[in-house]
Amino acid sequence: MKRGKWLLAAAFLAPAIVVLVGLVVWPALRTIFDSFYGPAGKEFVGLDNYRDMFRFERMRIAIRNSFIWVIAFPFFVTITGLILAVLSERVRWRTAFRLMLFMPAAIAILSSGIIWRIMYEANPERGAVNALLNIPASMFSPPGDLAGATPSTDAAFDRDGLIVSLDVGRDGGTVLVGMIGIREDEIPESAVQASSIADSPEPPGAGTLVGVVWRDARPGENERGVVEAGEFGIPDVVVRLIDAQDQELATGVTEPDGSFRITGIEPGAYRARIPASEFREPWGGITWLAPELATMSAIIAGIWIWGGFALLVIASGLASIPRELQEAARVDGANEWQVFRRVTVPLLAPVLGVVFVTLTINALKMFDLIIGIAPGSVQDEANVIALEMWRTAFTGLGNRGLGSAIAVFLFLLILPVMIFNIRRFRIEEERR
Amino acid sequence: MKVVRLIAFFAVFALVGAACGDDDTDTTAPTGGGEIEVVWIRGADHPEGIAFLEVLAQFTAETGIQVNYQGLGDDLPTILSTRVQGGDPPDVAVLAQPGLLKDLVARGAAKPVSQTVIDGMAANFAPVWSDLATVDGTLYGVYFKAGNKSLVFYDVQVFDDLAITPPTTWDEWIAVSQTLADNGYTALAVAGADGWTLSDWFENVYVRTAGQEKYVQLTNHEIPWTDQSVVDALAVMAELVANPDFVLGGRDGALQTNFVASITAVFATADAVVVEGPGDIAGIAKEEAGAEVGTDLDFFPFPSIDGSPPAVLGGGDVAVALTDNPGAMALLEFLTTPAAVETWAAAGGFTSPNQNLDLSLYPDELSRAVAEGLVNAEVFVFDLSDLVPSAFGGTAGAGIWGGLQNWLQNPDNVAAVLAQIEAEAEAAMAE
Amino acid sequence: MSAGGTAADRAKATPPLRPPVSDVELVGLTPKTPAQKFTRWLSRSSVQIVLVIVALFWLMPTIGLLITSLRPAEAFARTGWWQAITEPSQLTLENYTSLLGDSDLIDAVLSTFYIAIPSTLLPVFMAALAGYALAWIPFKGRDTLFLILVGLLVVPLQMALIPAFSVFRTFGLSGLPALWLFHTAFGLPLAIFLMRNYFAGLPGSLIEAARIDGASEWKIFLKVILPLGFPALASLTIFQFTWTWNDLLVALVFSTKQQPITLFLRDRLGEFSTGIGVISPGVFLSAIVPLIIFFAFQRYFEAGLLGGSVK
Repeated sequence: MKRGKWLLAAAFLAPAIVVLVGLVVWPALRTIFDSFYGPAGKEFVGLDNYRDMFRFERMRIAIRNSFIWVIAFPFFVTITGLILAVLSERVRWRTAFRLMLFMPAAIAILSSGIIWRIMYEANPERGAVNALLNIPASMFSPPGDLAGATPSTDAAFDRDGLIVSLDVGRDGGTVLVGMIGIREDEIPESAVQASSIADSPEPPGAGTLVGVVWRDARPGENERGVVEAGEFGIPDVVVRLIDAQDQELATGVTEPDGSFRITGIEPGAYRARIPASEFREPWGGITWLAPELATMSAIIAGIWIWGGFALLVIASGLASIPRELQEAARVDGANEWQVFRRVTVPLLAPVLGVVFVTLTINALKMFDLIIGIAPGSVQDEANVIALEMWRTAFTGLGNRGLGSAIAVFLFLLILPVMIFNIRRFRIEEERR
Repeated sequence: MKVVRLIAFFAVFALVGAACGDDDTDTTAPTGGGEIEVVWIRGADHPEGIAFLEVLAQFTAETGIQVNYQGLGDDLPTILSTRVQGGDPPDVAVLAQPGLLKDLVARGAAKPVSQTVIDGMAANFAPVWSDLATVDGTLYGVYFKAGNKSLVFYDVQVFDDLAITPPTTWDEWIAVSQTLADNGYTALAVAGADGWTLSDWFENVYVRTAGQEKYVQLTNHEIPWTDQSVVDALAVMAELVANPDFVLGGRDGALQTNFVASITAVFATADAVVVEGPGDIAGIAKEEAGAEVGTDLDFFPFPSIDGSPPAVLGGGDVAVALTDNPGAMALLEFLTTPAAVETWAAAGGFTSPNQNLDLSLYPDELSRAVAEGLVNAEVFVFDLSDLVPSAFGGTAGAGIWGGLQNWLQNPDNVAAVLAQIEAEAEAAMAE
Repeated sequence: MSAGGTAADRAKATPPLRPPVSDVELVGLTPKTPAQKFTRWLSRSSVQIVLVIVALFWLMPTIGLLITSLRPAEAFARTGWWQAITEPSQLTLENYTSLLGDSDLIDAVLSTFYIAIPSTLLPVFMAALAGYALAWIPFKGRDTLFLILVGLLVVPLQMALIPAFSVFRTFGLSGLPALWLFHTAFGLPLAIFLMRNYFAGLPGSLIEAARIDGASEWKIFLKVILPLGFPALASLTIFQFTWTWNDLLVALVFSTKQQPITLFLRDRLGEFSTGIGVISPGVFLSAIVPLIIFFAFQRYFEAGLLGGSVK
């Protein structure tokens, strides 16, 4: 009888075991074997691959990032799933909500990476994330008319704006402020040919300062610092006259030909300032996929992809926990948070454990998301161990030995997670 | 009894599985010498894949040898690697990187060509193309497709508006860039997110500042990457590429810009005016931004630096036989003849290094000019990053690509960057 | 857990279809005073608002891609997709008509079915067999074997590619059978885990009764276990199908003549092009089938997924 049972079990198990031994166990052992051999798998190199592995900066970054992934990704995804599962219990359209959130799981991960690369585009004109952030940004600090411009005449920027030194003599004074680096279509439509008033042989008159702020550029030949035919004035620029103590004395605003006039000034040395707000650049957006942010941005995309999975699993766990305990706690006067914290979460612990462990293993095996989301120049900084293994073993003709060593390393990292999982599982079995 | 039934079930299952297996191997295994399997990156529906299939159809018509074609995409090296290591290589592989050819030769996977191929190469191609496919004195492949990577594309509208004439020297190019900057335009889009575009920039500058001889030495790693000539070339390159006044988004922006984005920045959003790169740019600008050659887009050859002679940096695709199937060598022989690629040249988007191909076959000015530049260049050098082992010259984020990206991040740090590149070069060449 | 024992047992006895709990039951005590009613209304509607916002954020990337797929590639290069909301005239089905007009797309979709269906059914069936043995046929070392099988989840798929290639070569397998078997192998550990746990939670009395009636184990498996285990089979099917449908890596290495839709899309991306005009409608078309499968089986999903792990 005993023997019969054994044979019977073997018959049921045989197909799975044959396939697993042939295509998982044997390749895995082969990989361990290969990890002691050279790039082409021919010469024995002992532990060299394991030593070399840690010598490369790329691998060290990969280890650091995998660590960040393992810490952050399962935590945030589980928390997101838990909160949304509990909240969505309370609405009638919970099924629709949960399915909506699960939808990203139906999309290939590589495609999801591409979708998020489009979302993360730095230019707020094209990237949705930055476009959303741009709404408040442009409300609080609108770009100035002279955004991006630099002076072509003698002037310098300080914290408060552009500073031009000037002298006002007995017959008044003139000042030229040339601007380059702005496109013709960026200056207001009202602009006309820049004023030649500053070049006029007649002095402006006692106590009068005359100046021109203009676009010192035109098609073809062009001399810096000189107002020429075809160069336009820049209208509506505020020019403040300040003294040595930074006290504001007077203010002028430029005409369509770029000229401004300030009267009633004593002779002497002054400075004129065009305020910094005129030069304020439009908000350029956050470079989400910059080297230092790429891992975080990829984790956010990961939450989007797996959040629905966590939600569904936790929600089904929620549906199967006995309602009576929560009821009892409420009758005893516990508030919703206490019920959640003291009753719901402990009851859900096994489910949360399953989700957490699954996500931890996913985090360690993560690779197609990174390929999809990180630009080429950032693949190094966003690197993770599983990706480094792929790159080492398969890019070019590949270094099979080193790639195998990294795979074994990855295996060793996942092992404790699995052991933890298995022990937890054992404890549960005993409870049955 | 139960056990018997189960065993019977699995027996049937096994039979079905075996039957499927047999069925499939029958269809893929070459039947005698009458069929060959050819792999390349282009899919069978990609315009280039379609054109290549026509070449193969012509081959079948002339020789009676059937061709089973596979377009493997960018993962060609991966799949080829797996199949070679697994002992089941395709008969002919078309490779874009000579470095991959060297790897294959080193592993004993590539087969030397026949005397007919050697003669065909000598009759129709400049010696440089045979040299490129030669490893340790033995010729292994046929370069039948080439690319010109010394082209600079610009927005015709902006050049016309500002009365700018295309520069012919480096100094003129800087002056043009300054004029553009003065007028509020961003002079250059640099695709720093893709390392290969930076290596194309570097190689174009280096062959002009250091000369062909040094270029070849650097390629073969006879001089180190820390050589003064490399430092000087980077200093020249920095005048344009690392100048935040000229480059779209500054250096950080350039590192986020991929190749296609650098083209659309010029021809779709008009964020920048000039972009350097291979001839493919014209096609991409048309596809992604509707830019027409002549009215929207034009190009000038990469300018001379300090009186350097006209030089072309090129790339190419090489066909290599990986099995002793006689059909494989027949295809290589066929590809040395001008007749093989006539229809492809006429279809457009293709440049042949075959000297005996009639230039008038090219369908438009642009492709003719690209081909002419390639055939007539006084100096022709092959893309350096394609010639070195792929771990050093063709891996995202590593070797030359990664090194130049680090340089662009911090151009003052030349010594450290070059030391790092040199270390990786030594490691890669040692293998 | 003893306090919840009876409820859990009840849930076990009727695993799949627990009637949805009403709102009143959920929040607990029935409100009595108007003030309590108002507080409840407030908390309910604030929850609603929060969830609506979350849902909108979650849908944004997908909607963005959908709109992108309806705009010409040129528009994508110029402005963000939301511009189409104010300028709907730019929307066009051009990307879809040109993609669907491609006869190879149909071949690719069919190939994906040829690959995905056996690659889903084989591991589900094998895992059901194994799961039954591991749950209900007592033999020595059973739990250890189970843990080892599940422990294989740890093996990263990428590293098995080259050795597996040699294995297939030894047996003269390539193309479809190779893909089926490889997908099966890497789907099995999770599948066995889910199956065994679900089957273990089924009422033992039914199986014992069937055994006493003299039914063979094979018959019990077919007539008792499979029908009762349907929710678990269904949810596993969803998982495995989605995975194989969206697979690119395995197809890249093992497929010969049958190119699945992921490879088809990749082919059209070209070396340089972003190919947004192809990838955006392509991602949508390729996501339709897994979504249909998901919606078709979703009512079994929750019950099946956790059948065994929630006690």
